[in-house]
Amino acid sequence: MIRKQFDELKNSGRLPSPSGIGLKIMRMTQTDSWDITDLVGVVSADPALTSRIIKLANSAQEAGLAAIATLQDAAVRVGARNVSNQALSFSLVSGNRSGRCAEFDYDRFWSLSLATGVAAGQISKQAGLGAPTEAFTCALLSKVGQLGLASVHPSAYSELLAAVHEDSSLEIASLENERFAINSREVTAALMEDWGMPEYFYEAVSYQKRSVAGDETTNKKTIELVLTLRMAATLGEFCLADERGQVELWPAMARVRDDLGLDTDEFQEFCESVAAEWQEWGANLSLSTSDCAELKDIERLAGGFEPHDAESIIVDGEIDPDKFRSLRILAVDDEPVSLRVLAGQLKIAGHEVLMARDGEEALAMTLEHNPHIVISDWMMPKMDGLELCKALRRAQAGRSVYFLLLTGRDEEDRVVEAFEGGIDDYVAKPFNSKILLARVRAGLRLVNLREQVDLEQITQREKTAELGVLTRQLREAAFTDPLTNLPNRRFCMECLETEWECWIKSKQELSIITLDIDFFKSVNDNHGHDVGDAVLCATSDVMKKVLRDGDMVARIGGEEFLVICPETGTEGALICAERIRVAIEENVIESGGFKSNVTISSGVSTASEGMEDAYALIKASDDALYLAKGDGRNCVRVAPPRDLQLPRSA
Amino acid sequence: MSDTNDNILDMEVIGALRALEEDGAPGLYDEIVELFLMDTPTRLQDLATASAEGDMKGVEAAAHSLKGSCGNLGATTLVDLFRRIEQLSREELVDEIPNLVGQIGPEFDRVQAALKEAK
Repeated sequence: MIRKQFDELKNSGRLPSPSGIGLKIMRMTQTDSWDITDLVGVVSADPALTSRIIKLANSAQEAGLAAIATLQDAAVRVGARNVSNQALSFSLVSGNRSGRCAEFDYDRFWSLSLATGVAAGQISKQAGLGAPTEAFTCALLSKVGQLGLASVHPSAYSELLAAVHEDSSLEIASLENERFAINSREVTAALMEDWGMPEYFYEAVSYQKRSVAGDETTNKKTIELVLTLRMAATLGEFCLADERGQVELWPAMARVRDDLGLDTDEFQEFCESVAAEWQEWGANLSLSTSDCAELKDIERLAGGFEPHDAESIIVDGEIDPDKFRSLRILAVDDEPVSLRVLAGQLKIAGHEVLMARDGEEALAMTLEHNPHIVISDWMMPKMDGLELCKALRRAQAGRSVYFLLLTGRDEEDRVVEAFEGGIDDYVAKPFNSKILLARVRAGLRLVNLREQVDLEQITQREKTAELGVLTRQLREAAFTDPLTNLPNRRFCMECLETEWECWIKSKQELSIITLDIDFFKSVNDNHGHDVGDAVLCATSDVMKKVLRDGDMVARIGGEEFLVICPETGTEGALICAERIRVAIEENVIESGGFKSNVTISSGVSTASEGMEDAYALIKASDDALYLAKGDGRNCVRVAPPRDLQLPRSA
Repeated sequence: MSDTNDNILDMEVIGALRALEEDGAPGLYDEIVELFLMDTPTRLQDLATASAEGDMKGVEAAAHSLKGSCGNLGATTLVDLFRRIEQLSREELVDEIPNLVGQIGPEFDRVQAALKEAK
């Protein structure tokens, strides 16, 4: 699905792509027959690029080693593949500095990417996570999917960004999914794959938003890179944030500090070093870094806030309950004039104000926008203020919101009932603006304390999470098809490679079956994708049931499956394929208005001398599948012996 | 003329709204007055209809919300009228309500004129 969406983007011809030397390198590295000499030959045509690669190699290496002076040395030291990736990414930075997406800040984008890259390199070096230059390259391109969407859909992406700028509670990835059926993180991963970057680069980008933890044996490179990217993202954002943004980012920064195992002074030094390298690289690549963060801000935040700093709210990861901050407040009144006056007063006091015209709307908005405080009139048609409060207290999401009820003079004798219903405070109307705002500030204190508790709970949870569980989740997600829960193509290919090696060594027979659901497209077209999905799941379930122990089935494409039968000859695989075919034909699937069976066509192939690799085995079973389709479907065909497959001479 | 105006609108309330404008919400006063002038006739109509139909719950709800909006603009006489209507409807003293409802129209016209003058 993602691949399809990405191919559509790609066909637009507007995705960012390397140019000049970058393009040459990409073409060269895709041929597989190149070496360091070829690479040095291509790259050295560009002196600026050459010096950047030497600079990067020097910055990453351990102190005490002789300085790297030539491209050849750099390539030997950090690896030719790594140097080619660097060259590719630098050429992307140089070639995509502007574009037509109005809301997309191209300068900021690259400046942030650079800060993230520099941070990743230093984090990798500091924490011993993977190779610093690879972390740099991957992080530098880790958000390039945003550029991709901005390039292909300049106006639509511009609208989307404008909506996010207006309402910071919107989540950009879900908007992207909604609008483009693919999000920028997925585009990043697909672009990296397309450019021939290492697989663990784009795996790490895909898993960046999930919780992972270190592991000794499995996917170590990927996990280390995920951890590096995550920390680097925080540091990068921090480099570009204004003062208020830095305050908001501080709890995340404090976690980075702890994850790196540094004390506050050491972390301050580390941040300074990241900022300095970032500015150095910015000058090197002519990217603006000067008008972003100032070094002294990092020093001040990293060192903890001065107690007399009027704007500080969070001190070293703790929220100070008495400091003013801007709150998100939902104002609720059915009467528009009062609502407007109330909203006006709150806005002037510096708060972000949402408005709802009745209790039901307010309930929906509270759950959606998660305001800190709800200020509601009591008497309203449909759901009144107190009913709203009671409803919120019943919901998980509304339990912690601070609820301030506005009462009329005549209602004041009923406030006891209101407190029993869960309100935190009340103000009688008509109210004096100063008194209302003082009550809001009192509420702020409680909001801050509640958030402090939440923050501590989250930290606690993160610390106690079992690493093994997380690693398993990561493995499963990486190797499982989310719809059918069968192993996916990636896992299947890994297994097949392993079995192939086994066959080469032991000559124990190896067969595979390629299966394809007949006329699946018409199921989708006539009954919709939901039914199509149900058919895929039901078919998968049947296959799992009838497979022998030791055989494995995977979903390798839309309606295409592959069964690996180790230690099995053609005869055995044929019996297995026939058993699956019959079981699926006999299984009636019911979903929505659909009630029918489906059939499958299968092709069987067996490893034989003269097959070059596992792909030749798949090719043979694909050919057999093609025969089965030609013979009227719902049948099994065996790949003809290899010598009969040769095309007849014309 | 200015004497009667003082009774119609509480200038302290108007002054407080004006002060909000100076505190950083330009145009707020005009916006609120416009909102009031647009919204109130519909609500008055709701009140009249409910009163004519003897729907005391409807009268109470309409009077309550009109009391609130008039309070925001310092229309004290109207606020008092609506408060009495609200009380009467709660106590279901139906007979006196039409008389009070009748007084609203002329008073609203005076408020409207005073608000425009106060601009």
